[in-house]
Amino acid sequence: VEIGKPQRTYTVEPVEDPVPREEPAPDEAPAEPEREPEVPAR
Amino acid sequence: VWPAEAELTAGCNRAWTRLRAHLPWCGDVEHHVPVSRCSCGIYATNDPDLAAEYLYLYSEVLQPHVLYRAIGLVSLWGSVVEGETGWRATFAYPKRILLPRSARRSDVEAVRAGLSDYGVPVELLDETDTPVARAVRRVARNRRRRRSTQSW
Repeated sequence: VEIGKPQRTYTVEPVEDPVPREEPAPDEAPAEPEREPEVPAR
Repeated sequence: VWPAEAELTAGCNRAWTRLRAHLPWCGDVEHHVPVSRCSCGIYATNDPDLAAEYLYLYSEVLQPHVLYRAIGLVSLWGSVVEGETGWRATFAYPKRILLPRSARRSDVEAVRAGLSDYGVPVELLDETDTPVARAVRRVARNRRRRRSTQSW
């Protein structure tokens, strides 16, 4: 495609991801780390 | 081939860049893609008629590797070089794919089913009334006129 002479250069950061990426299956999703039991402060 | 569910990332494939990469005294010739001084990047045009002409690129010669031609809208991001009639960018992904009609309806339906992997709307040009669809009709009409003039 002929787009002519360059006029300007800039950076585009999409607000939303333009790629419809497949969501990981529930069992493939990273498990939440186990929380340490809360110990009451002394 | 544009990957499905992942952005297409541009690289610089310019012959001069590739040649210089093999010359030790040239140092590191790789550059950010795209840059205005090079011609690299993923191209898109803001002129639907210009894009529509590409549906017929080299159509006069046999092209066994071409299965089907599509046109559409594309998302571009990353570094973008804006030209007079379009852009070159680092990343791209189809936003909407439009398919021209085929001699056989089953062909276009098979292509449409295959392109559904991209996860974006895939439509038949005949069923849309967008600037792109109008441009494709206009270009097809002009080509028919040119051919009929040439045959006189």
